[in-house]
Amino acid sequence: MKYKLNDKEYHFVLTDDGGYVYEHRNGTVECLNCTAVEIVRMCLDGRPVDEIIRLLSTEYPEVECERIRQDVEVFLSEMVRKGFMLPDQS
Amino acid sequence: MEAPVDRAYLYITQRCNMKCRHCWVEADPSAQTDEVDCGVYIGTLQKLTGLGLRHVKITGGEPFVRKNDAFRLLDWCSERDIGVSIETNGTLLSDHDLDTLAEHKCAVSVSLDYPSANDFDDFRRSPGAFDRVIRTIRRLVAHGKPVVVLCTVVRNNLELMTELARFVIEDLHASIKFSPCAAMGRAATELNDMLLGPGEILTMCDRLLSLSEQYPGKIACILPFALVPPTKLDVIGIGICEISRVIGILPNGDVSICGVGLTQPGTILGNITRDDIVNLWLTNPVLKELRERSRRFEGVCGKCLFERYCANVCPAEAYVCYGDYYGPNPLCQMLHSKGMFPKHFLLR
Repeated sequence: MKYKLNDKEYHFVLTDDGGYVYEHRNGTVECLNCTAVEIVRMCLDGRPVDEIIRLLSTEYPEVECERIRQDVEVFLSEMVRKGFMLPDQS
Repeated sequence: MEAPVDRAYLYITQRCNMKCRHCWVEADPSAQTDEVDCGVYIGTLQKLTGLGLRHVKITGGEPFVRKNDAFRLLDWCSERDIGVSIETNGTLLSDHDLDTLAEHKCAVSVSLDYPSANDFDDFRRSPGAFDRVIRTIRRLVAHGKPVVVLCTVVRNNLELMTELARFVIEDLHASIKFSPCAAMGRAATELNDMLLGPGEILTMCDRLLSLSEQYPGKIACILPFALVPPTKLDVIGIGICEISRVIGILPNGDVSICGVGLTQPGTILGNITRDDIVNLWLTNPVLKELRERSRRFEGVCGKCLFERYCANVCPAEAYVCYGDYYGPNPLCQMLHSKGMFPKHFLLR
């Protein structure tokens, strides 16, 4: 499964120091921590979830792979629930 | 509640025993402003409690020029469990005064801009001030009273921020709030060459973030969101002026958005000696507009991701610089004009 940004309704700022999601309709802003930005950037690169999990497991070998899987899936579900991201059916 | 008042800022005098060049309200020993009786302030505060008043800040000028009145207001607030803070230059208080102040349930802020006597006394144009301020801070802290040191940052104490923070936190056991000197009041004419330029603003921000990590919970500053990395928003205490919930009352009873009314007559909205403060708060068109915030901000603020959050940080400063409460934040606008404002935060 791949995900894409909902850039029709939201504007994303992704930096090495974290990021923000800005909603055009009401001007609200939500913060993203550095790990969240990293996952979003990987989604933007077109990487599927399994590959994102694999890459993060390599980057954080001290964390159990299953824990990384859960965290990534929860994060992406939340991003979809909030409308920030959409499943990429293409 | 329709339009609660969260905070009242009482500028009980424009007099001060000092005449600092950076003073944004142009306080001085011979200030001629009429001063309303303390009972009039108390009557007004009583009415504001009906609008949800939760905190009173007592300031000036130097509030302890009216020592009895300052303590009377502290007593009044403490007896009603209304949060109260007082800003002072810390030079007029005897040991007995300090012991009494320490017993009050109030927050105390004391001004200190340099870690050395020569520099500080010169900056404040007050020989011996440093020693009196340090004595004040030490005695309050010794009584268990938390003290926040207020430092105005200008060009020639920028490089001393770290040393001052170390002195305040490790030696005096207080915390410190840094504020870049604004081009307001006396500073606009007497300190023009010492106001921070764009590169210096960014240096100050970097230094603040570094100090915040070194001394967690001990460093505060009012900064625009765009100048703080996302991951540092909970590291440094940043804030904005919550103008929609603040009322300023000046020495002669004039009502303004804050102390800016002392130097900007155009911001005077009424007077507590002749106007009903509740009716004024609820119906004054300027206050209503600032609460509703129906306009976009001008300049870089109107293009910024954080427009809704920063709200130009300080409408008073925007008014002084641009004649408009909705003017841009002068620091951000300066950075933007030099191409140094973070472009990724610009939406338009």
